[in-house]
Amino acid sequence: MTVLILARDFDMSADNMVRALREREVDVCRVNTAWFPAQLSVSAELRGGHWSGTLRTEHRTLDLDEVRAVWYRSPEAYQLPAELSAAERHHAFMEAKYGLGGVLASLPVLWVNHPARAADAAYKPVQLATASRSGLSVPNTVITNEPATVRSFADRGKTVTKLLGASSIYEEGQRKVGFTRLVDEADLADLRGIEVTTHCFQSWVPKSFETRVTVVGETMTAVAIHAGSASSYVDWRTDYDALSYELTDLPDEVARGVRRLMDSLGLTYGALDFVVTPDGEWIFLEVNPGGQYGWIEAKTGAPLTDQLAELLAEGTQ
Amino acid sequence: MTAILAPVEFAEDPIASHSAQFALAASFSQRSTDCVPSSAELRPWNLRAMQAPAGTRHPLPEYRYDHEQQTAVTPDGRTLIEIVDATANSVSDNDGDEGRSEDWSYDAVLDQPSPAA
Repeated sequence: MTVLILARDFDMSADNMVRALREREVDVCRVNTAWFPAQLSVSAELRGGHWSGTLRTEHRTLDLDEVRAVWYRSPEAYQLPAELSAAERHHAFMEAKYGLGGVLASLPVLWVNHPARAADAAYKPVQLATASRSGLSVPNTVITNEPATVRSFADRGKTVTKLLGASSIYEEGQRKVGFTRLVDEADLADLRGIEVTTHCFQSWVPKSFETRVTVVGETMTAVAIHAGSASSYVDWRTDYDALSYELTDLPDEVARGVRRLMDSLGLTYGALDFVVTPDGEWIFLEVNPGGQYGWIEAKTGAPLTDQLAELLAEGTQ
Repeated sequence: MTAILAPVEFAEDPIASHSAQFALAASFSQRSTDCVPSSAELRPWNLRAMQAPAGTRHPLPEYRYDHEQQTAVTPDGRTLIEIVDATANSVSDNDGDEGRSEDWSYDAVLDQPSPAA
């Protein structure tokens, strides 16, 4: 059997996974879809209800029938010849997406995670609704582009705002990042730009600490993240240097909710964030189907790479 | 009658996810960074608080992808994971800083092709 890793060329978590799988004497083939078509070719034929054939590079040939698990880590977009016109390039890209992408997406193996499931789960409104139905507590949330709705929601109490999609943009020659932040009076006094697109607001949840729960198959690893600065208390991503970590126990009821959530979303891997209130209640914030885990492993010693390697090595069938 | 959905229409559907989108990650090298902020009347409200990422980052050593080892290696052949500590504030744009990885996290892939570098 072979584990197929789809990842960027530079991805140290993928590097570690290659090593972990080799230590288990599992055949591993790492591919970056950006290699297509210059460095990667595909030849697949539909036989008996599944696609057989090969992915081929100058260095390696992958028999699709040998694949038992796919780690969809971070592959990049196809890189088409620069000589093509824009229209030709778009055509070639879309054909590759539905052709090579379609063949790979059809593989009836263990996916961590299947890109379609990961993409569906990227919608935070879907996450929150599904989490609530799964028995997890979630913050009061409003999504709107109406200033009046923002004001009436903020009138109910302390409010935060966060982004629904990608947390960064590129402008003025640099990358800028948006974090969860408290909404203050100055914000509410000037809501220009609210109408332009949807915005997300949530009630502030009283916080003792936050947790990152990493789900790998049936295994859940909970880590308490303690904030040591004012900004990291609101959003721990703002100040990694101020954080401390410790492994913690996941309450059974929360674990059952997480299991239902993961099953509902069709995810085998997820990085979930919770707030733990001073009363000990766990409030679900979000699940990231492709969340990073290397730094959690480095800080706590939690064997997350090994967990993933075991899951991938087991595969399906 | 068979409905034909042009791929570009699917990709640009305002609600449907990019489920058929393969791959999800955008290339590091495809960013256009020359945009400037719009006026306060037009700029999405939440973008007012955008800021350059803070924190200390240490440059990575020179590396290349090695197809035989299937990992990143330094010019002298050592794997990068042998010499770099994969913690949030010691690896540029990698594990834990939720930096470039948000491209993967939130389906923010470019759906328009780019030429090969």
